[in-house]
Amino acid sequence: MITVILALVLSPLLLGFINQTKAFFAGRVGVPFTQLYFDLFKLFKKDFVYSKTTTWVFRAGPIINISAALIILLFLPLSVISFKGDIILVMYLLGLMRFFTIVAALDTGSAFEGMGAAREVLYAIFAEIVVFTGLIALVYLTQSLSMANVFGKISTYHWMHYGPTLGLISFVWFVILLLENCRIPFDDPNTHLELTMIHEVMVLDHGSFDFGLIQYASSLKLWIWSSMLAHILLPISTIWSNVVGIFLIAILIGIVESTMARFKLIRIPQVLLAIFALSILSLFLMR
Amino acid sequence: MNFVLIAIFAFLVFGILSLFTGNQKGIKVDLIRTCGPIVGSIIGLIPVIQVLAGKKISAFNIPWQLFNGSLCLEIDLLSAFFLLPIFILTILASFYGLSYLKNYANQRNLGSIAFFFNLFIMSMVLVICAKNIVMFLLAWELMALTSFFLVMFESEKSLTKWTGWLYMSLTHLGTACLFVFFFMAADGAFSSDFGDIAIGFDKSKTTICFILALIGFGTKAGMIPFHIWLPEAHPAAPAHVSAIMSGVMIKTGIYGILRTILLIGVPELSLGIVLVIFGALSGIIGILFALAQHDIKRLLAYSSVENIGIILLGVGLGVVGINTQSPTMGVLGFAGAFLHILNHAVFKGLLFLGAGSVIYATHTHRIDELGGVLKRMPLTGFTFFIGSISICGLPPFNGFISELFIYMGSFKEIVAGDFDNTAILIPIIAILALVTIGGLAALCFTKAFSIIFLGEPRYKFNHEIKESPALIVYPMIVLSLFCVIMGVFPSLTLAILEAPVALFFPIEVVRKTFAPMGEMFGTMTYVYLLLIAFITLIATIRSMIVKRRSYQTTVTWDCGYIRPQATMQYTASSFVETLVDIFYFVLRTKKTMDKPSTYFPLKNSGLNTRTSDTFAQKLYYPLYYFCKGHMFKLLKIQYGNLNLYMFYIIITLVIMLSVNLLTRSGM
Repeated sequence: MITVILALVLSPLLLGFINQTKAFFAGRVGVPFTQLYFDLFKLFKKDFVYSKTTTWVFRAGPIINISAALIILLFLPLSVISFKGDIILVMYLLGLMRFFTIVAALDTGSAFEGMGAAREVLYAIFAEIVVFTGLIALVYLTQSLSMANVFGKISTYHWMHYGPTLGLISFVWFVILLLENCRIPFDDPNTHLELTMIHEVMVLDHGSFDFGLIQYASSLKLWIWSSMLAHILLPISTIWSNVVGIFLIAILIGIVESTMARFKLIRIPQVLLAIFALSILSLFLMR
Repeated sequence: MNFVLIAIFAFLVFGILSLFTGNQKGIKVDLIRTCGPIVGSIIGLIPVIQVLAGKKISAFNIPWQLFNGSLCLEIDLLSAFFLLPIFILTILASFYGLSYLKNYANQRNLGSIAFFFNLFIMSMVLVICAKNIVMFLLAWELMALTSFFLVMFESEKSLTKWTGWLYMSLTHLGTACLFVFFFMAADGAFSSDFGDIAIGFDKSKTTICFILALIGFGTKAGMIPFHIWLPEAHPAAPAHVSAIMSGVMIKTGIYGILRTILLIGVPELSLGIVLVIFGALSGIIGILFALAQHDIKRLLAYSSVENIGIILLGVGLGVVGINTQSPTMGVLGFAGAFLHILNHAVFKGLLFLGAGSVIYATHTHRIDELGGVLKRMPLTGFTFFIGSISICGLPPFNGFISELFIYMGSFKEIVAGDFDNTAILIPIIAILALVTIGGLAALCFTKAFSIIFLGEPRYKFNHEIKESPALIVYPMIVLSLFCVIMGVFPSLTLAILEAPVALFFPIEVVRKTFAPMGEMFGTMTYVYLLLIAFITLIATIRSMIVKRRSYQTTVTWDCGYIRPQATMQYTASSFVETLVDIFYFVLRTKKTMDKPSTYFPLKNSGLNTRTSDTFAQKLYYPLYYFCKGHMFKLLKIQYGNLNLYMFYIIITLVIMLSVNLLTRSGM
């Protein structure tokens, strides 16, 4: 239970860590660590404006997103629920979140949001294949099918015997984390040019409470992916080591964002195919 | 068995009666036309449920020389399982058709449509129940013929005519394989009854027989590369017939494959792998073609190819599981395949009915002419939305459960397996294929739902678009309820699946494998209920906040547009363009572009994409033209003289008789 509470309370802080790292590299003072909390608080107080084009689908999107994210939190290692096969449920709940984000974006009838939706769903196809290839390796290594064990049971023993496989999977997982959470080099949440973005452009028309939910849900999503990666990387699996790992990953994201440029959109499928090749390679290395 | 005979009798009698109603109108006529399928199906459901509940029903059996055995109809477990979706979907589709065909009342002879519809349902029931080769093939032919006439619904269109003949010829190519298969299988048997074949079958012929059966039945199921009739034929029929063709008729092909396994024994490992690979290919290529389509019914038809792929994948894992002594993968593979047969009937039926409802209201089936339909047709939109999520295999709806079975089977095999053994490739292929199909399906159905139902109308119709009548909407609501119930309470499905899977594995093994699945499903129900609770809670909080704040509506902001236009929206083509470009080597999409010519273009410019079937273009048409070119030589013996043809027949008969006599006398 404490894992869930920590995630609920601390996840907005991740974005603060990323931005502070970026500010450090750029030699700026940067926004406070707690900026997202202020933003959320402000958004929840705002009035509502909706497009005439939109329907209940647009309003349902953020609600489904946050609810599914909350459910996924319960399945994280050292959390509340666990059963054999819950990894598939979790991955498909992430798919459900994406489905609703996409239809909500298309509900506005806007060209920009259509563009973002088309990109999001396209990259997701590749990302899912890569994630499941990684899962195949992890399932085989840990001999289990639940989130709690697949990620929680990775130990020094596994790193000693299957180091190359786990190294590759960690790398691949980190790339997918960047893609799924719309970070550079795949997406740039900071540009003003909506044309260059994927996720931010899909939520252009959301505002106030709804947008707050979306922001919060994406910080939870970042927490979820980082938590999984931290469990693979750190052979000791305790709640606090995991939290430390998550924040280290946030700093790593900040470093990547400071030192890399965004990929051209046409390059992204190619990068993803290369990542898929690497994940297949990780299966080979397991022999 | 009596109930099924009554049902068949009902289809026949009411079919013939409705033939006489011609193009009359009125409640009495409607009653005659729809009474047969509904009453027949309800009666037919009684024995089906009895058998599924574990009761044995004795076969209807009359020895008959004509059939080289007996006229034998029997509902065993496999038949009962396939009859269940047929009867349920028929009841719903008949109500739907009653209202749907009203649009055509002045142009078509609805009596004959009802006649063929009745006979079509009857032939499917006969196919599933027949336990004799001759009987089976007769019913199979009747099913092909009656569905052909339903496909030819709008026969004055030249495209429909061409479609009809394509369907007819491909179906018969498949049937030809079945003829050879059945006669080979019956070679050493005492009679043509299925029971005798199972006893007398020479096991050395299993491989060749199974390949023939796979081609024959695979053609009906729409397995790639034998699928090309499917995307042409299904859109041509009226919506409720498309729903039945896609939802249950193509499943008779799967029934055939499973029946073959029961008849001639489990094929060897390599054929199991062939099934897995063809399943994966059908799934991925089917959904790729689906997402490139602009016609809603063609899109759904291609998606049927994809779902048949998933079913074949499950069957393939089952066959591999039997061969490699890995019962967990086998049981879960078969269970996934069986459940997907039901699931696909439910959501594809729902989606075809939904597409029909949109066509009924707007008179167009081109996705790009629609948009914003959800506001005008809320119920159709809502049910179509549920169908779309289900078919993408997303929780908490039913599509997820059948895919979960296949995933669990494969993952458990990986846990138990060894990476030094090549056999581990099979579950890996299955998992990666399913993931790919899932991702592509999400693209396909976000496109289908969003472009049709969301945004602003892309085309101004002269008539008002409003929700379809109750008889069209209620069947869809019923089907979407099935999607929800089977998805949220998956434990219910285990009870239905246990017996059919036990046809291929010992019942103890099935129970042992299902026990952990049952626990898992139990937990999943709680998780889903929690999800629903969260959604309700947050929605309530939101509505409380909405009450306290100001609430405005305006145009879509879109970074500061003042007057956004409907033409600015993303279209079906643009939404999938990048992916279609990536997979150009499979899809071969043709683009025609009218570029804007000057700075102030006067004429409309635009982009047109068209994806025709690569297999038809590159494989079937060249083959056809090759044959056609060489067939001219045959004109010498066939130039339209009827007397000569009679003469040929007589000569053939004489030769056959003399060969027969010679072999009998032992020469």
